[in-house]
Amino acid sequence: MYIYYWIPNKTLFSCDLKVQSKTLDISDNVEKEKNLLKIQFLENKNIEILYKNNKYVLEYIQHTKKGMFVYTCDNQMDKELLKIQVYHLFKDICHIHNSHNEEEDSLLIAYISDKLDINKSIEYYSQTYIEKFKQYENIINEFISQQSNEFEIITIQNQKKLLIKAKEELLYAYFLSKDTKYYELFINIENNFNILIEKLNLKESEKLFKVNNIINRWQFILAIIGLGLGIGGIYYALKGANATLQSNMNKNIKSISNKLNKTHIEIIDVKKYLIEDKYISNKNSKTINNILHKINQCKVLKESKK
Amino acid sequence: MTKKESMEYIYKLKKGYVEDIISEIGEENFKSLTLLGFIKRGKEISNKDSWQTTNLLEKFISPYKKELSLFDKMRFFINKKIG
Repeated sequence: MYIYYWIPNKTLFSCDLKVQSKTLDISDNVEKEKNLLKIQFLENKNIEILYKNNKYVLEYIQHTKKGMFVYTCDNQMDKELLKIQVYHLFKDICHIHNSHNEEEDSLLIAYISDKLDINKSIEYYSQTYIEKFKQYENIINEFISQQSNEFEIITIQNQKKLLIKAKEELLYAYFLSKDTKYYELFINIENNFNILIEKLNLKESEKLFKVNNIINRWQFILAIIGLGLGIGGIYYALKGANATLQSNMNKNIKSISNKLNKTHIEIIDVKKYLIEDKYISNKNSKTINNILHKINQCKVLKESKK
Repeated sequence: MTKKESMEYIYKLKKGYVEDIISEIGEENFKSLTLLGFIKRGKEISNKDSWQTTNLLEKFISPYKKELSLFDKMRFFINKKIG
């Protein structure tokens, strides 16, 4: 059987696979024991696989400038292992992660066939990409139709990030499918992605507008409450000051009246006394005249009683 | 199960055997989540196929699946009522 390993690339591949090896624990820690897989590039470009104390060799056949590597081996090897784990280990060595984390790599499944046909392998990987991009569209559309929670902005941003990742993978797909019938399909897919991004932008701005409205409403309500409290405060402060002034004035009038009763001084002297009195804070003539007026009234009352 | 529900389900489980998860979320959902890079596939020492979630899923799901503080709960409640 023939194994086709494609290294995702955006430019023509000029790799000289050096003699090197890599070991990886391919278990997902579901079971306690580790499950180690080792691959080694040999001088003759063959790959040696060490797995569970067994040694397998993938014989190098050829590789293209697009980064498609072809190997052959006997049918004894576990196909799933070759398609997934060995391929990803192989890709780990050759593929450089420029704009994404290793963990966020495109998890493609390798192509295995009984025939040697590079074009078929390109077709397979192109179709895998088409399937992958459809899944991106489906999942974003599903999220768009179901968004109704408080975290809408965060989920919209996450979906945008996912679409950016998809668009980055699209560049690999363009490079792989150049001069094939799939290239046009990828242009359509890119257009669909752009429409999705526009939809997400619109949703995000709608949501931001809504949030701003809520904030503005809160600000307006708080401003009204603040204004009300301020006016109320001023009213009660003035009322309190007036009451204090009145009570002080009454006290002073009382004390002056008492003094007048004792000393029998004339009104003109009272006026002088009032101006000098330290208890009367408001010494304008209106206040003093008011006091004198009240004293006069007291006098009249006193005389009438006599 | 929708894809969104499947994602939330695998986010809770984190890892397991492939045959178990396929019976829970369906082969279609499993395939698409693997293709999108939300699930990474491995092999256990017993030779059983296994899976685990990737960083991509953690980043995608965790912002809106995290536990809310009391303040956030109150904030969202008031926003909902007044909005």
